[in-house]
Amino acid sequence: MKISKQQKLENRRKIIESAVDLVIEKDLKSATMREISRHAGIADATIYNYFPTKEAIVYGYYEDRFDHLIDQIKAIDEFHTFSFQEQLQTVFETKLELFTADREFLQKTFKMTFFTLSQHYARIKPIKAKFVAIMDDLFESAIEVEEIPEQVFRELIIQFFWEYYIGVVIYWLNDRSDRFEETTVLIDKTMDLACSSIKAGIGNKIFDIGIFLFKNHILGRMELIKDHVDTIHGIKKKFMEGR
Amino acid sequence: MQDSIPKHRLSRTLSTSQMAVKIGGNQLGMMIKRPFLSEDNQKEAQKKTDRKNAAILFNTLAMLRGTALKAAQLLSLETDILPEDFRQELEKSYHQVPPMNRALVRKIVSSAFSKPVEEVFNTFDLTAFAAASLGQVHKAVDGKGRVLAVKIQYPDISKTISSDIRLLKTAVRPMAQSALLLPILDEVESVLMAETDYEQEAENIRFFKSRLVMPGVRMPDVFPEYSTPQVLTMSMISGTALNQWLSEHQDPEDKNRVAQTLHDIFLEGFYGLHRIHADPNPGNFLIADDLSIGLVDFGCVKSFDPSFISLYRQLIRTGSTQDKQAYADLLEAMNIVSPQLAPGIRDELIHLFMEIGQWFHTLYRDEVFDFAKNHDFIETGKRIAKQMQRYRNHFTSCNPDFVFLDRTRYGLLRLFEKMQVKIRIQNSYEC
Repeated sequence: MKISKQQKLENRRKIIESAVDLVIEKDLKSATMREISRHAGIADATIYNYFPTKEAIVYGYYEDRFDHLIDQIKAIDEFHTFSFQEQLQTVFETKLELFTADREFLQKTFKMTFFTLSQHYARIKPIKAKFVAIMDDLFESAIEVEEIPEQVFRELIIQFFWEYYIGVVIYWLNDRSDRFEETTVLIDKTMDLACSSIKAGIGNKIFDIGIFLFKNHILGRMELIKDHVDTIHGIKKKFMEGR
Repeated sequence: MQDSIPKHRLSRTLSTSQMAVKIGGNQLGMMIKRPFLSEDNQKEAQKKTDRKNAAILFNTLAMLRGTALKAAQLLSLETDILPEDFRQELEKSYHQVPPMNRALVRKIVSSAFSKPVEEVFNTFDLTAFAAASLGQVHKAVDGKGRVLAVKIQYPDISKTISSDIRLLKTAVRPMAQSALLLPILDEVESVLMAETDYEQEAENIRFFKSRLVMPGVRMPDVFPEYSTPQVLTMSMISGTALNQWLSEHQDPEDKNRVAQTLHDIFLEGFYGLHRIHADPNPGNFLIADDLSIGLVDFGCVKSFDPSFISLYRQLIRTGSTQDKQAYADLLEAMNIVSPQLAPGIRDELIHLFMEIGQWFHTLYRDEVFDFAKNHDFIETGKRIAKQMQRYRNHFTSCNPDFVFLDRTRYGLLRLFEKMQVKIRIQNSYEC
């Protein structure tokens, strides 16, 4: 029986939701694929059409959450008028807001998922790719309106933001303050610093210094070496030519 | 772009301990010099050191913002430690640039109501239109088309206040004026804590709105359905903030009208309702075209015991007489002067207080008091008050109510002097 794409998405969502419930109730280790499919109202065998393992469901959850984030951001009318920092901050705050309902699930699965060995890196790659796509978007539009300079090390900086994101979520998961205000303050202050540096083009400046040093000093040294090499070549040539 | 405000405790510590080192260094320099100076020169040198310390203190305070600025404001009212040009800097601080960006504002409002800000109000202006003491105010319109003023504060601020005060105290302890400054810092802490309690403020607004019925005075309504302990929503009050209004309006009659209303609000509040705004900030009085005054900040309201009020009233009435005994009795009854003081000190203090009483009474001498004509009125009062500072150590049991009241009233008088107005100080409560 062929089912619609719509139905497929719905099933996928149900499975993930069911896994979240069961993990919150017990933990990932004790939840079985069978239990998850039962709780989701899906046939035992069918669940494997969607996810090969229960870990895969967890990865699926995190990947879906980024799509959800994009939808939420799009619903904010004024977002496009925000400054670069305000946009970044809103993305992070909204992400946490979306995580709030599933906080317990995250407490049991987040660290294990993202502090991973390189062999499992392939599983995280699609999740990270979504994050990177959002960041790229924000950087691109900020550069377009000349709010920030073109960043020489953009990929590196976004990589830094990924690590920062992981850190913030873990901080948030341990935050016991009212309305998670301490995390809000952390994000506000660190974004200040990060965005000031980006705006000031510090990365670029460091790059410029590097180029300067390279050109003036290292290349210069290499000229000397080159001269020596030429001399040696000359001698060798003469020798070989029997002069 | 934001200024870098050191909010993490570590960097704050560096900031104030740097200051303590600088100040400590100053004192040491003084002590080394001292034995070689004549008495006059010693005094002069100490004054110089004091001024230098004040400058260092102020610069550090300015870096710490919020809490610290409040401390500086209260310091400047209380003492002459801060030089005049710093006080002018303080004036500017009443209208600080709001420190919270739109992302943060969204987060604060959304998490207060557990839904996106777009679902709470019809429209919400993410850019603040006014700065509040430790936060900022935003304009919003609700589903019923009502225009609202939504006040919000920086997250987690009560913890910041406590740690700020602790650090400031550490810096102040090595200073020569620490006996004077430390109690002020305690006060600053309670004032600030009160100002971050929006539930209390909502209570205060409701109280004043229902009881302070005066022509020419407007107060907002609170909207409890849009308010939490961290978000206070009120009806929008129109008008221009007093200091701005003063720069735009020169008509003496108008200024007199406004000043008179301010004075009457104080009297009616204190004697009629037993409560006052314990920190009259010109930024919180909104003057409309009809010269009515809109009151918008009820963050710090102090209430008084009726027995204290009646004693105070008597104190003012006795102020014009030469009846030293009556005056002394009142001062002791009010706990302003302790009966345990050594008789010599007690005598001098009472004498000084009588001088203040007489000085204050000049306000009631004529039907109308002209602050422009009596241009050294405040100066005279300051001089007497300064002499009193010498006895600061004996004020350990001083009635804090009195200090509060005194400072508020004094703040108003300074405002009137700045406005150069003619107003009627005589009133049925005190004469």
